Amino acid sequence: MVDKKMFGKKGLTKIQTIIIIIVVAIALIVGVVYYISLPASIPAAENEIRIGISLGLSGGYAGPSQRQLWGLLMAVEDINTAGGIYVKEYGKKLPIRLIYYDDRGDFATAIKLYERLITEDKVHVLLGPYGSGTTLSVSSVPEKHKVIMISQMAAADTIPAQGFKYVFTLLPVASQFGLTRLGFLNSLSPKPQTFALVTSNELYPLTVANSTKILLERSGYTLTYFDTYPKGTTDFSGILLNIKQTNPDFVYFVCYPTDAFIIMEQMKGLKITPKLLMFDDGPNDPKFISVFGKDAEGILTQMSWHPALPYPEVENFTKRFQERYNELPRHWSAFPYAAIEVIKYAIEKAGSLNTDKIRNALLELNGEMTLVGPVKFEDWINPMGVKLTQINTGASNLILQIQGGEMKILYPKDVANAEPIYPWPGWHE
Amino acid sequence: MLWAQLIIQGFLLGTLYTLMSLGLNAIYGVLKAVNWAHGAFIMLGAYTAYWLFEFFGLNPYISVILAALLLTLVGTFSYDVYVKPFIGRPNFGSIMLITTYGLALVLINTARYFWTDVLRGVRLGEAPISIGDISISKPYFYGGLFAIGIAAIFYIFIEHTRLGKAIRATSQDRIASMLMTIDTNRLSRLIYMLGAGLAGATGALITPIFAITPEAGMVLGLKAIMVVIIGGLGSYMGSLIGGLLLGFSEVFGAFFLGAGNQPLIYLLVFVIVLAVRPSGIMGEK
Repeated sequence: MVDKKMFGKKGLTKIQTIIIIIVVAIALIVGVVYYISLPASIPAAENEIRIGISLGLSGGYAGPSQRQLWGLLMAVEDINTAGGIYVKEYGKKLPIRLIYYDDRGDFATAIKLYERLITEDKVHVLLGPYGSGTTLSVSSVPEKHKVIMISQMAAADTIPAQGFKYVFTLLPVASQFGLTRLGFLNSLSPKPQTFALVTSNELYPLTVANSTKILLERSGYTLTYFDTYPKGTTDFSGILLNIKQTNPDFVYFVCYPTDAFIIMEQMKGLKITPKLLMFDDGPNDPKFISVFGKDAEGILTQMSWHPALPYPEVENFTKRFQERYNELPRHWSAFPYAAIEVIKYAIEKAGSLNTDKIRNALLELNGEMTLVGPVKFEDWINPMGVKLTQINTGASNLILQIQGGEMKILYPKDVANAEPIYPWPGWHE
Repeated sequence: MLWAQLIIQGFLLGTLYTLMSLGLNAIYGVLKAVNWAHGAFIMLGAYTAYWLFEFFGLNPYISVILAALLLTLVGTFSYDVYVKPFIGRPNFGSIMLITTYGLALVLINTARYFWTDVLRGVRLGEAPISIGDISISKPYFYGGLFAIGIAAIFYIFIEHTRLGKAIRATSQDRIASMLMTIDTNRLSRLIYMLGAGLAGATGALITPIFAITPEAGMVLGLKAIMVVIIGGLGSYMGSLIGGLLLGFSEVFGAFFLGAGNQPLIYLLVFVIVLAVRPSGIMGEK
């Protein structure tokens, strides 16, 4: 029991109150002044470069997020074994410390974690999370705190369309995809004349489809049929019969893997054989070739990275990745790896860990070679007329074709490793 | 020619939807409750056919029988845990809706745990059947043929056997059937097993046509429920009409109005049917 008498029965006198208030006020003022002057007077000497990211290591994005982490870990390890990144203002190499958290694929958690990475962990540079949805949700956090974020796993135009100064996009965005579709068709002889375009009616496929449609029509290709279909469609005969009626040269589905598996079967059933047949996703799924066998031959698809790319680091990276993780690397690991390389280039160029200096250095990059090819961040107006800021115009989405049971790169020509099979030989009886 | 092609396509798709909903309808008839796990049963049937093809090279049309048998087993165990303890409760219909929804989640997530979200499918790669300008995909053709066959056998069973008569009697009046010494509890289990078996057979038939993932369990279940509601809960003829209506509206809707409007069209059909006949086309007033 506490004896109440210890504190006395009377209240404080007036003088005592004034003294206490004055003491507290002085302490407060001194404290605030000290706190404000502290970072300015004593610059923190850094002995490491902190790079932060939130990943969906558990939850719905666990698979790709795990692979994203693998790519990052390999890049950090490669740079640190070479001593780190040289920072001119300190006159020495500093190692990278990767700080990562698990957001369970939850947008709200990811936002909190990015706040934490900035305010508590005081990271120098941020990396974008997995997926367009998460990246879009968190992108305002680095912008608000003026910390650079390199987005490497988000292909939606909506992120660079925000015009943010501190967010850079390394992965080719959806509207850039149309460029290689056009370039590929232009490279063929005889040139195809007509095309049909069918797309899943979700944001990302619609962006790819619209950009392709606009670019092709502008270049004189005739659209014979265009349609969108909702998620969960299991019967495509209505669409396919329309395509059969209009008989286009190039049939292009901007679809998810499930859709491609269903459409292939139904297309064969209706005997539709265009000169070129392309599915955005599906044929790039490892199961596709084994399931469709000879019918898969000559089918076109896309990827933003492939282990057969002729860039200098690719072969070595692929070999080491396979030894370590027992599978072939995909863009999920390659782009995060390249993001760390990009940070290295920028810090070396800037000679500083100051955000604005790094930002300027990033904008000055001019085709520096990485695992994913040359990197150049620029503003670009997409075919729909939307201005995208600080996207990687050095990147291009690849067009691939299944040839002899393997994926071959057909376009862009400078990285191609096969000639196109054209026209498509059609269904195997 | 185009019209013939469209009609054939809609008809074949419709028969699959009919078969998809038949088991659901049978269970509703006797238990007067919707089995939410129906789609998950279809999904399991599809995986059964897939794995049998993958490991033993077994043709999915042979697996139809095995998938049906396996699912009757799954059905009887599920019945003990998710249905039987609640029979006779005043709000049995809503309880079963919830417990079987739980069962669907358990089955879908177990499937996801073991088989991941990777797409599966069997592709036989056979050339389509051609009659003049019309061409028919073989998996659709066989699917339709099997669906009609299974539905016919089921119809004969219900209409012309003693057990079928007992099922019909219980569907009409459970209490009266009990008084006539029909063991309605045994019958309930039997119908649940039968429904699950039909779902299993459907699953095997769709593996060569659709692509399967554990999630398909929900999507297909919803379609089956829609067919049953359009056709009339508990009416077998309703299943046939509802299934064909859904098949035709999907194919014709997508062809003439664009696939983007496909759900609009079949949901419109759904709303119109419910507005004109709230108990479904063949449902009792």
